[in-house]
Amino acid sequence: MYANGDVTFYSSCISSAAVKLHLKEMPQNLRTHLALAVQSFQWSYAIFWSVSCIQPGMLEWCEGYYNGDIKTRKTVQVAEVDMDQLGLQRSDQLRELYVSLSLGDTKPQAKRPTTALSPEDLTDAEWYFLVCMSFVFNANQGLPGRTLAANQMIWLCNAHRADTKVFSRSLLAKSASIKTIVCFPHSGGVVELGTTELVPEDPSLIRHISSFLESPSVAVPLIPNLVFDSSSCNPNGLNLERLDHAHMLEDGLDRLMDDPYMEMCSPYNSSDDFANNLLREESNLVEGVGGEASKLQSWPVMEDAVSNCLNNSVNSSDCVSQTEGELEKVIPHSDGNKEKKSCVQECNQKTPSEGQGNDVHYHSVLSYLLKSSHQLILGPYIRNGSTESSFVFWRKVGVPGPQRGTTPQKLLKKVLFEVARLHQSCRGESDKHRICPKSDEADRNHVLSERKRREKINERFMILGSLVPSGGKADKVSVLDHTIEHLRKLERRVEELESYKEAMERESTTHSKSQDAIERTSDNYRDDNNSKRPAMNKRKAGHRDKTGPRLRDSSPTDNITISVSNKVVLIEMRCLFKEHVLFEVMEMLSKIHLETQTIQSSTIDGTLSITVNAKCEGLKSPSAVVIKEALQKIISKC
Amino acid sequence: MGASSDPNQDGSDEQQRRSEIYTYEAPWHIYAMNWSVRKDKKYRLAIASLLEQFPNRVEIVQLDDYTGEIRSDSAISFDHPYPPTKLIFVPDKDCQRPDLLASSSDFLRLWQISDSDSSSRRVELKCLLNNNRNSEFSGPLTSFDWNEAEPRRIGTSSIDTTCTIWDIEKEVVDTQLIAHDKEVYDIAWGGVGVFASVSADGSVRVFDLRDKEHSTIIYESSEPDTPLVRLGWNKQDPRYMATIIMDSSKVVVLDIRFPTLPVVELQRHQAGVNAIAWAPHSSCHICTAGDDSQALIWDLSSMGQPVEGGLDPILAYTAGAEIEQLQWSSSQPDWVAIAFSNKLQILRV
Repeated sequence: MYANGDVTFYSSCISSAAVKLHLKEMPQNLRTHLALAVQSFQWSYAIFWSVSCIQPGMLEWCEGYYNGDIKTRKTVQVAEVDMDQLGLQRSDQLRELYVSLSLGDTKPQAKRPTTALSPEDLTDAEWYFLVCMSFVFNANQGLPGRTLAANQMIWLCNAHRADTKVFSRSLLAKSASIKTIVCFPHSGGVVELGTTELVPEDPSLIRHISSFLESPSVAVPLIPNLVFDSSSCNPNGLNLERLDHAHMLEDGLDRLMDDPYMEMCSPYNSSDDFANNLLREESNLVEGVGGEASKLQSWPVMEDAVSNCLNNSVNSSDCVSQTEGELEKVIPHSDGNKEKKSCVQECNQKTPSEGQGNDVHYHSVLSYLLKSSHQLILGPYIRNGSTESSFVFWRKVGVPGPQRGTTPQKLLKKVLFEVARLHQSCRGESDKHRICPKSDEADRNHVLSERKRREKINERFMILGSLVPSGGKADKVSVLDHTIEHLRKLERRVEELESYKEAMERESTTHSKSQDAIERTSDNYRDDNNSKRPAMNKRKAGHRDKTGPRLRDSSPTDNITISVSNKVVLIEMRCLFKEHVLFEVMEMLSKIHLETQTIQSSTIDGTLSITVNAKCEGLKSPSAVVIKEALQKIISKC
Repeated sequence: MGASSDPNQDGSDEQQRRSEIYTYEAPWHIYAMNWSVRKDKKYRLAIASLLEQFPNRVEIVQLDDYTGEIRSDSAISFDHPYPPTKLIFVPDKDCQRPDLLASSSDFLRLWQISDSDSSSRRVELKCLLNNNRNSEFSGPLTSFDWNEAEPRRIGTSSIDTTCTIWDIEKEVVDTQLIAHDKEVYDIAWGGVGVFASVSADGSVRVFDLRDKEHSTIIYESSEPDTPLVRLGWNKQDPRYMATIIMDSSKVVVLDIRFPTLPVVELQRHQAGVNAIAWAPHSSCHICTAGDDSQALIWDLSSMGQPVEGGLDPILAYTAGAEIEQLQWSSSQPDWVAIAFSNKLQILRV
């Protein structure tokens, strides 16, 4: 690969001067030629890429003419100007703008004159044109590079949809809607023309263009057909891999320089033969090229077959080079310290990196150039075809201030301060939570047993309440009271009865009656069964079952028991429930001068039972018989 | 991209219509949030709630390319004890490691996301790292950082004034340093074995794990004892770091070669700054966001030269509320995510 390295270097030394001279002659004429060429076909732009004097083997922007749409015209003179002049002026202005932007980093605050263009004034196509000024191509790289290396014309249709591997500026072209680009070698460089229309390949067009560029004396040869239709290429295959930032820029550049695979394209000299030799040697890279030795300015004639081969081989070489090599990228640091005349070169010749290289280059170019206009573009990632940034240019004024007075950085402080406290407080709670489950179970058991006990107690109270003449009140205290009372009563009764029994036994022998003898009458009085009496009484007194009255009583209705002792009268009566009985009993008692001390009444199954304790008010207590008669009267009355 | 965009846009609505902004609304206030780094899971983020209670929630959301919506994946959303103060996905672009998410709250936890097998998609706790040897509990963690150069190392900062460096592969503590005199609020790695931390004592200290006895104070806040609340270390150019001062609307950019002298102070926010993020692929861009609902992007390439009137940002975005969190995606560098109130927005830069 380095075979002609020495030669090229040597030749470059010799011919650099010649080249410079040669190039200097070019501009004036060239621009007009380019202008004419482009205008005649109404294409959008024409660029002449020449071999760089600074960096041998590279193509850089030499001259260009912009013939496309213009957005804002900024001219000093108002008077009628020739269209040509206008066009040339525009191209000049664009070039000035580019220069001022590229110098931006050395003079950060440089102000552009008011008549100069500023970025906002340009259309997309003008942008494309301007950005192209920054591009440089290594040998066999990029459309111009390949054109030069192959010494063939390349006609690129659908440039805007081309794969960046094929056409590195396809994104730019897309934004500018440049659809067709043609490159052909000329005068030691490459002429590139582009248009926003899709123009099918037309060799005659090339011929005409070249005739504008040449002096009329030179014959116009045939042009080879090298159609490169990229319409089949996948346009959106951009990968979104991020760049590896392992290298500083300088290192990267050194690497590039030292890279043995870097090909050095020789600068041109006016010697045709020499150049042709070089071309031939370089064209060995591309298979099947049969470059004929001819005048530099004439096109080598190709046969269709060969051109097809070439086409294929170009494709295949692309494919081959795609698979090989690692992806080493160089980051463009748009750091002011990294002073470079031209922008970052395209990456290593390995074609896959060309795609990323383009991204890198694009990014670097724009951020480098347009720093002063504050535009930040960080990579042309395309999703859904839209690349609008969510951010807007920052404006100093016009941003509404927030409500002052609220705590600044409120949430941030909350996170730092309060959340920490949260841990501690929650921790305490969670501890409690952890203990609770255990006690719950025990509690539950306890509760259940407690409940059972209570239920049992209540049940017994109810039974007790039904046994005792509690007079309607069912609360536990009353029930207990009644029970106590009843128990005492019963005990008394028992005592009395027993004493009575003794008395009876004594009476049967002595026939004595004491004043304090206890008189007792019962409804069994009618029965002339004296012997039965005590038994009946006893039974009546002793047994007070629920079923009591029904069991023993022959008469289903009434049962009155009265006991009088020492002016205290105890009345117990039972009758069918009727209203107002109690009231009348009380009334009657008061009539016979008995002061009622306690009354208890209860109704069970329609049978009213009344117990009255009364005290005799008068001197003489009424007899039991009298009371009983009165009671019976009441009962029978209702 | 080369097209000259209309500079006279105003109103975020118009911005939304024209440009790419995707919003996700969560049922709670979002604080901790971060981008996924893996190449095979693009536009995926983790967001976490900020509820003042024990149970909090972490959701994994992803932008659906086709519908253009951010959706939460409920199969891999999980409960988290206490609000996480920070979330970071494992810095593994090439998908060589398992899909891990780290969160800091009372402890440092690593969560494993099993996403590939559609039948068993879940998140499970891979390990819980407690750095307090004495008791069951450790000081609450204010922040942490996952070392991108050495992904087995995570550094945490705590209110107990210590910074703990974990070896998460062995699940042990590498080192625990008493970094400051007061609570440490943020920590950031600057390379292999080098990290810096900021604290309530107002200082930025740089530590080198090869020399644990000594640390370098590279900045102290001008008013003594004004806490520094956040720190960001420029991963592209490790000479630079940026810090936020409490209750201040300025962001101080520091050069570690020149301690105590800020390189530049970014003073264009109109209220307190809440979050900063260096660009993951460019050494001179930083994004800041604050209580004035603005996210600003600054170009610091002219850092060495003093600019009259202070440096202006180049780009701005106005959100609907105070922006609490800001993360710049390291795998997709033209996307930035912000969180404000209960919304997450991802913005194209």
